[in-house]
Amino acid sequence: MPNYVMFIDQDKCTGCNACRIACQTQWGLPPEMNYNFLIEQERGKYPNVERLIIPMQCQHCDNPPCLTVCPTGATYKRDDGIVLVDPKKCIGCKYCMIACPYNVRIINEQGVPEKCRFCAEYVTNGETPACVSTCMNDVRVFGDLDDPNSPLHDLLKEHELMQMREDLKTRPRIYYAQSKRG
Amino acid sequence: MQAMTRRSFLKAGAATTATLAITKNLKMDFNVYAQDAKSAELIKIPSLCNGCSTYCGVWAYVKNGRLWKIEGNEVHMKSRGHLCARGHGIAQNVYNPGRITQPMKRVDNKNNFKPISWEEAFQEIGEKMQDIVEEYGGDKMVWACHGGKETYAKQFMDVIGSSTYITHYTTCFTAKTNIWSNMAGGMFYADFDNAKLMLFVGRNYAGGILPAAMKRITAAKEKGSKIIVVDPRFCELATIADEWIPIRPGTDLAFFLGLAHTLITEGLYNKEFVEEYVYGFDEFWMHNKDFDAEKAAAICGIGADKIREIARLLGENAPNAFLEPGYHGLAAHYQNSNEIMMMNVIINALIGNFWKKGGIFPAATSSLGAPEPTYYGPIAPEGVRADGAGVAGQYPLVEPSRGIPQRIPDMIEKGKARIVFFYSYNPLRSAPEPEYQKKIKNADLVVSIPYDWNETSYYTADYILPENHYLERAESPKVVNGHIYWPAAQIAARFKALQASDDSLALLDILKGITTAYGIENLYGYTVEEEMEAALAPLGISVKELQEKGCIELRPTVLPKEEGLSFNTFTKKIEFSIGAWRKEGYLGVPTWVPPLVVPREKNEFRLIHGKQPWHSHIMTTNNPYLMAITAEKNGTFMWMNSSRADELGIREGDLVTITSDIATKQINVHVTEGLHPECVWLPSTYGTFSEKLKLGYDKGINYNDFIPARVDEKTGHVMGQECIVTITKG
Amino acid sequence: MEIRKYKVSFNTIIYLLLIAFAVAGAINKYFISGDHAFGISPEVPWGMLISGYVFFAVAATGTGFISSLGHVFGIKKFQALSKQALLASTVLLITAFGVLAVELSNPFKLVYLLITPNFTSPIFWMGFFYGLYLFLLFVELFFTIKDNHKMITRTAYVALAVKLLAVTNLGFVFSYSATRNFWHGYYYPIYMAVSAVVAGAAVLLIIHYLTKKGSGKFLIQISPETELAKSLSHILAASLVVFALMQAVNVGLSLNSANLAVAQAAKALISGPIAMSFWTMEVVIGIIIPLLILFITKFSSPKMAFGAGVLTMIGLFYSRLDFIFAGLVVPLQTTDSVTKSIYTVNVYSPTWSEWALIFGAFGFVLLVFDFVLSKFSLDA
Repeated sequence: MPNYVMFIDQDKCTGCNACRIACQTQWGLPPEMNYNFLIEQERGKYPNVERLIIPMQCQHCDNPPCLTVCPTGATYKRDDGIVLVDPKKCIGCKYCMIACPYNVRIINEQGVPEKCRFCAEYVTNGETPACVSTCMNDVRVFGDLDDPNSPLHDLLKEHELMQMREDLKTRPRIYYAQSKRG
Repeated sequence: MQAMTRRSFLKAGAATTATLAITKNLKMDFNVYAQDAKSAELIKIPSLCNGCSTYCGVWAYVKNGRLWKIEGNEVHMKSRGHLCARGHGIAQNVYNPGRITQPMKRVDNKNNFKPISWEEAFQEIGEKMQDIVEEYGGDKMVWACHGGKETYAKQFMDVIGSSTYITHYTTCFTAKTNIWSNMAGGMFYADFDNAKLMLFVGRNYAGGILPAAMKRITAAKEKGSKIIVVDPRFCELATIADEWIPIRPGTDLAFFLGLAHTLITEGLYNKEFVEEYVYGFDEFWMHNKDFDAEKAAAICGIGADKIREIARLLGENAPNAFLEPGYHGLAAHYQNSNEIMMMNVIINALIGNFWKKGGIFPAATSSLGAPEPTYYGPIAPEGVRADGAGVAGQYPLVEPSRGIPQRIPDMIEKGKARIVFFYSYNPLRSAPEPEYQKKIKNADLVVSIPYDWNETSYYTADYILPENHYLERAESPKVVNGHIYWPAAQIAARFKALQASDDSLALLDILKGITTAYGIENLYGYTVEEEMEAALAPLGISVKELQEKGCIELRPTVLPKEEGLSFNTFTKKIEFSIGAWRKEGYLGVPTWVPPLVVPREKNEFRLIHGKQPWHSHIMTTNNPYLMAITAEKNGTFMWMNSSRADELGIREGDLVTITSDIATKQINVHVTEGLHPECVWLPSTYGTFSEKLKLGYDKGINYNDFIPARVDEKTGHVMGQECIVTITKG
Repeated sequence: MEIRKYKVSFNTIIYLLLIAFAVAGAINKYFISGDHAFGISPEVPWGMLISGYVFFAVAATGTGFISSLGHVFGIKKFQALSKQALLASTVLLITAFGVLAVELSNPFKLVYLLITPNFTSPIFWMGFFYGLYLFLLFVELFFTIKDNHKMITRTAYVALAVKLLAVTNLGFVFSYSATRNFWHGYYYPIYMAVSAVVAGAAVLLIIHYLTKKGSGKFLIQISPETELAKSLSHILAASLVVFALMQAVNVGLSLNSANLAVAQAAKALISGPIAMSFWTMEVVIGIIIPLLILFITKFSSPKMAFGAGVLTMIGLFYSRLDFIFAGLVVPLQTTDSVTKSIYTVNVYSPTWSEWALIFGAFGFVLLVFDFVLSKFSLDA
């Protein structure tokens, strides 16, 4: 069973937003609904300026708070670690949106708080998630942590890593390279 | 693909039926669609993106006759498997509510149109053209287009005797191509992969995106290449740069002169290269030997030490270093744009990086076949260009192949232009001074061939002949090269991925209709499929093979070389002094030329502009996906430096009034640390004023609103950033 | 049991109009605008309808608490209102579930709460206990109609435990998630329990006064029980004081919290976007004026106590709204000081559909009371 994780080198992102719309078309989402987005922040004082850009999406936590609170088990975790929502069971209480520390869920037209699916159906077929493949700067790398040939191993070793809200012990499957910017 | 929901289905349906005419194929039953979509086979068709002039290779995924998504072609040298946001957005424009769905005829002066059939449209246009050509001559026809997208119009123009084929280039980058051609015999492109130092001045590859360029730049950076970005704005490329150096806008020439002076006086330049391959070095030096780093610093605001430091870095890393040749950023913006471009050639020549790894290279080329001519009838003598490009006494130095698009109303007023065709071109929004451009409607006949209800069609056209979406047509193959260095040329083509969802046509069919109605028999006596075969025949590639691969790379032909360099100029060298200029009485070498206008008062700013990474210039503002990003990012806001904003009491999001000599508008302000205090910056995208483009209408403003339609006397560009605006709160 | 004929009055029309308004809101949600009918967003996923649910559910629980003083603790004077209290609890709880059902995107899938329950979810337990409570209320109703006092009392014992669990679990729904710092901790289960007592006393004061009026539509005469009104007034005043102190301590502690998100939320409450609603509606109208009324009238005017009860309930409604929005108003911090938006607070304002459903819910409660009390005699 694969052990899917994603590596995001945030300092390589230049904010083109291709990941957002590639995902939208991949999943047939309407324009106002997106599973990933960029947090941007300007730092510093002219002329010493830096721009922080953080690609955000569902972190596919190994200990997902959204799964813990889902009353009907609509949110579930696959054996390969991908956290998904079963729309059949979702009552639309939005408790997952309350519990998620990452603000990455968005209510779809069926009233289901959907989110990044790690392109589950596609990666199972050996494809790459849409946000990964469209990115010109190769900001994201997706792969199987248990696959010894995956480039992920080197990347995770080479970089100083950080995860979102480690204090909450959600154990995300997305590893960010620690930003070298202010 | 997630199952489409009823609501999004209805939305898509409503979107397409919102336009005047009735769509045919899109009116399907949702249940039928949903059922079909499940079982439908997924088809993958190659095409070339139409989101900007890069024309990335794409794969269109089609299910059940409906576009699902596009992905970048992995071989294509521009996309290398990746795409930008606008590429994804433009593909979804197949279902854009702003599309024109059938031919339209103007019925009054209030921009009302009535649908007519293609036959009627062709007939009426043909007859009107005949009358005008008979009375005034065929040279009164003007064909204005974006440029680089089509190859059919010239055949028609040749037959009726018109030479006025105009592209948008003077509003965009004409100084660059003109100067490089004069000085180096053609364009050269940067080799990112092997560069140790990359200097980008006024070029933002992460805003005006070329995916493969960014892929290679970020990869080179990971290998240790240093990136320096010089730009008044902390542009998207600056985000990943080692250093961002804000420059006083309009003074890049001084910076370059300072760099050259340091390279020469400190002996950092490549003397052997200059001796062997440069003509006119002494003349250049004679005129510029006093322009040192201090003098440059006083003008451009970058410290003399910093200028020298960059010059030394260039010298140390030469020849594996380059000053990127640039694009829209500086090449049509200032009174001194021509000299800026000359200095770009000169600095690269001084570090001797031509044909060097990590330096600059010409494009690899290849030639394609063409179908046998099918027309043997009479041909009218070639007329005089209506725009004066390349014409003695008018604009002798402007390349006639580019033309001057920003003064079409003058040509009409003087009777030099009576029939104006616009193909996929919208000067009312993309050229300066829209109120002036609106006078285009005074021509005897205006025909627009657009994709959507753009301003030029809406305000000036007598007939609108809708072209289909790029995914709805096949096109003759193109040689893929340029923009960035790649050793081999590639061949790619558009294949038809989708059935036209309405009554729009490909340009070839439109021109067949018009020429036939005009009375020219069999001018385009071939189908696009026959054209494709003829084009590929000399290369030994079959149409089927190209369709399977989407893009085919030929043998590498442009590789690094140490000696025997030859330039396509009169002296076969890089000419620091331009002969054609001397012939016209100008100095042949660049010297300091100040910008035309300078802001002086507390509330005066230079208005500059640039591309936002998720929008093309003007043509993407009606796209719902891209406008959703704009909404989230407050993308229409005008940038202003925080210290200047403080002085004027302006805070983030405040509404301000912005006034130039020709216009007054209102816009919200984004207060930033990432902008030179002397200027304000506008994204070049917004300011749609065609009421039929509902999503973009009245969202934001455009720099073209504020600048007059000027023509630079040498290369014809618009001097798009020679514009002072006053800004008041409220 | 005596059964009378229900007469449609002007009030009936008003109640029906309010319900019609709610139906319009529900139609907008289910058939026209979807979730866009409500002012919620990815940043503020819970809004007025969740606060409405909390309001009605806690009021139901509180009414049950006070009436258990009669059955469970055997305090005779409270038995005078036991049938009305039972009815009030049932109607309020049904209303609460009704409001929640419209808030939920897919209420019909609630069956999965039974098919595939997730025992780690506070909402599951809250739903379980409130469901059980509703069931017990029906059991009590059944035995009340059968006039089986023994079974009523037995059921009431079980029900007391269940409603305590229900109301604390409701608080737990909010305080469970470490993501929402302002709610996280032990406060909200206690807040729910204490405010339930406040609500219970207020509801019963209202019912007591209206039932006493007698002749008319709403109700039927019961023996004048000014003693009962006084006791209820005392309970209301005491619980309000405790409630006010708790709230003050909580807001004070939050303001000085080392956790910036908590401090910012408290700040939003006292001087930010929620301040208006907090100070005027929750504090002045919901706490200070009712207390003043009760003390000035020396707890002995059923009419003024009725007024205090109404104001308390209005204040409580805003209290629910305020604490829920306060928990969501601060943008989530995914990394150090980086938020999705440059603005420092999230925005939420209820839409007409949300208001419609709340007003409709009140209309429903009043209509049922009007109907039942004028048809049946609920005298003790």
